[in-house]
Amino acid sequence: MPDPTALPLVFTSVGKVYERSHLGRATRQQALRLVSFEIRAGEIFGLLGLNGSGKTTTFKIALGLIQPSQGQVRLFGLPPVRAQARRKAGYLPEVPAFSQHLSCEQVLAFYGGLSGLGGRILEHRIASVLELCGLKLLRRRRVRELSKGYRQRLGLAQAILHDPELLILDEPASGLDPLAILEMRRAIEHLNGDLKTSILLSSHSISEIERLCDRVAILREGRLVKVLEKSAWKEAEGGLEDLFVDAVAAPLGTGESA
Amino acid sequence: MISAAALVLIAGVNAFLPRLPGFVPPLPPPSLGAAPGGASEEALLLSLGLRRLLADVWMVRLLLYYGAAEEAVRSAASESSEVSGSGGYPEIAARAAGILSLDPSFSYAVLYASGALGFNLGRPGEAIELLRRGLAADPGNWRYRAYIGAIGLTKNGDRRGAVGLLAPTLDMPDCPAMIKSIAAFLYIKLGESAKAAAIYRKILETSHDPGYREMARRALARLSRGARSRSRP
Amino acid sequence: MRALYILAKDSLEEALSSRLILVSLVAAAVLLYLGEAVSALAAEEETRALLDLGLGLIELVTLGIAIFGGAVFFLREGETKRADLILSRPIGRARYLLGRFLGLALTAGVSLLLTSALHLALLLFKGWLFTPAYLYALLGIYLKVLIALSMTLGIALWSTSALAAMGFSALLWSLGHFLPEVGELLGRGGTSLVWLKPVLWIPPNLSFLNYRDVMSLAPGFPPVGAWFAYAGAYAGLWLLIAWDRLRLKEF
Repeated sequence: MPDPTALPLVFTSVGKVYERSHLGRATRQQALRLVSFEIRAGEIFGLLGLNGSGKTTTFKIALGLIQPSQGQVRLFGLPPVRAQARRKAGYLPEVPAFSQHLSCEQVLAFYGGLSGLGGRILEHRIASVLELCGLKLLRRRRVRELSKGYRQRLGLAQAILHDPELLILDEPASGLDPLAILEMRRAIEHLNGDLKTSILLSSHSISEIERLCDRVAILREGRLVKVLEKSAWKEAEGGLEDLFVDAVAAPLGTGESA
Repeated sequence: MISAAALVLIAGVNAFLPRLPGFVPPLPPPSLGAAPGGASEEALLLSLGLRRLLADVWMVRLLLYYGAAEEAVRSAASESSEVSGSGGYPEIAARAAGILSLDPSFSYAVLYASGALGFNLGRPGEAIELLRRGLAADPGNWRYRAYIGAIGLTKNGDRRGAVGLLAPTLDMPDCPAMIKSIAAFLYIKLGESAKAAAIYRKILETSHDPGYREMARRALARLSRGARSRSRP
Repeated sequence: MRALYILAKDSLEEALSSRLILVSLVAAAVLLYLGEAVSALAAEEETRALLDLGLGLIELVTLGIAIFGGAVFFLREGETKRADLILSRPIGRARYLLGRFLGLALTAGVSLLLTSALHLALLLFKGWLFTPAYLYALLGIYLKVLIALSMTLGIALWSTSALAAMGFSALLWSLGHFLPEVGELLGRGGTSLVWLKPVLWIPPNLSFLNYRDVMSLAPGFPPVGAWFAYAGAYAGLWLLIAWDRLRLKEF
C-alpha cells in the first residue's frame, strides 16, 4: 500500500552504470554516483548540470524507465517500477514523441486513457488542458503539422492531463521562442501555485531556474555536488550562475554538500 | 531463467500436442524421387506449408507432360477414330503417384493418369496399380473401383461393360474431360449417339479446358450432321 | 482491460495510417491476378489451383505483415522515445506488451479479411462452390500467423535487430512446416546428428494448424478447440519470453 504521507520523490544513494557491448568489446559508463535528494510536496525542484551530467538518467530512474545499479528510489513511497507509483506522476521528456497521424485531441485521449481516465471526465480534462496550454484552436490539428513549440505544449498537456501531484519536466523550454518560454513558465507557476503540484525540472537556462525553483541541485559527472535553497542564490552576488560555475568548475571533492 | 523455463515449456507443449483431442499426425514426407521440378522447388513449397499447392504445380507439370498426347485424343474423339498408343510417357504413373503422396485427396490426378494409361496408352497394369494406391489412400472413393473395372473390361474388349461402369463417374466434379470424351467415344462406337451428344454438351457446359470445349463443339456438329443425313429420305 | 484496448487500437490505427495494409492489399491483388493466369494452366482443376494459390498468398502476405510489424514495432517505439511516455503512465510492461501484441494481431486480422475477401470474390466469379472448410482454413492461417507474431516479438526484444528477428522467425516458421522431413533427415544421419533432435521440439507444429492443406482429406469439423489451445499455449509462452526481456529493458 502506498504511504499517503510519503514524499513525492526520494533518491537514496542511487548509482547507475551503463554497460554496453559492441563487437565483443564491453564498456562501462558511470552515469550517477551516490545521488541522494528528496522532493518536498508542493515545491519546484531544479536540476542543473552540464550535458551528460546525468539529469535525464535521474528522471528516467525516477519513472522506472531505467533501473538503478545501486541505491533506492521511492516515488510516493513505492518503487517506480510499480505501475501504481506512477499514477500520480506526469512526465514531459526533452523531445516528446507522438504518433504523427494523430490529432492533438487524439493524443490526449490516448494518454488520458492509459492513465485511467475515460468518458466525460476525460473529455473535460482534454478541453481544460488544451485551453491551459494554448492548443484549443489546434485540437484537431495532426501532430505532423505542429511546430516544435506546439509539440512541446502538447507534451506539457499530456503530462498534466491526469492532474498529477508530481510533474517531471526535462528541459521544458528547449527549442521554444521567448514568448513560448514565457507561457511555459506561467503554466508551471500556475500548476505549482494554484494546484500545488510538485515539480522536478531541468533546464540549461539558469535564469529560468532562478525564477521558478525553490531549491536547485547541481549535478556534475553523475555526482550531486550541491543542493541550494532559493535564499542562497538570492544572497549570492553573482546569483545562481556564479554558484553553478563554481560547483562545476571546482575540483571534485571540495565543497560538496547534499 | 524465465525465458529458459518458457523454452522448456514450449518443448513440453509440443510433446503434449499429440494427446490433444482431434490431433491428426501430419502427412508423411512425399515420395522424394518424384519431384518433376527439382528438389529445391519441392523443399521451398513444403517449407512454406504449401503442400497442396505443390501438388497443383506437379499436376500442371503432368498436364504439360501429357499435353501433346491429349491433343491426339481430342482430334481422334472428334473424328470418331481410335487413339493408338502403347508407349511413350514413361513418367505418368510416377508423377501421379508423387501427386498422390502430397495430397491423398487429389483424385483428379489419379483418375486422369490412370485414364490415360488404361484407355489411351494401353498400359492397364500401371493404371490399375495407380488406382489401387489411390484406394489405399482414400478407401471411400468408389470412382477408383469403377475405373479399375472399366479398364479391365476395355482390356477384354467389352466396351459396353466399360462405359456402363464409367457412366456414373461422369457427373462427378473430379471426372477429367479426357475420360468424358473417351466415354462419349465408346458410346459412338456402340451406336448410342444421343448419349454421346449428352456427354459432349456436358463438356461444353462444365469444362474449363478450351481444347476439350472445341473438341466437343466439333463432335456435336459432326453428330448433328450425321443425324440429319440419316433422317433424309 | 481498457488500457489493452487503447494500446491495441493505437497499434491498428498506426498500421492503417502507415499504409502497410494498403500495400499488402495491393500486393495480394497483383499476385492473385498473376495467380489467376497461372492457375488457368491447371485446366479443369483451375479453381482448385486458384483456391490453393490464393490461400497460400493470403498466408504469406499476412505472415509478412505480422513478422515485419513484430520485428520493428518495439525497436521503433524505443528509438522514437514513444515508449518513454507510455511507460511513464501507470501501465505495467506486461500490459504494454499484450496491448501491442493485440494491436498487431488485429492488423494481421484486418489484412487477412481484406485479402480473403478479394480471393473469395475471384473464386465465386470462377464458379467455385463455397464451403465452410474455407473459413476453417482461414482460421488455421490466422492462428499460425499469431504464433509467428509472438515468436517475432520474443526474438526481436532479445536480439534488438529487426533483421535478425525476421530471419529467425522465418526459419522457425519453415521448420514448423518441415518437421516430419527434418526428423526423417536427422534419423538418416545416425548417431552423429541425434543431438540435434531436441531442437525440433522448439519450432511450432504448424502442420497441425495447416488445415488448408488437408481440407479435402479431413471429414467433418476440424478440432478448433485443440487449435486454440495449442496456439494459445505456444504463443503465450513466446510472449512470456518477450516480457522477460521487456521487463528489464531500459528506455
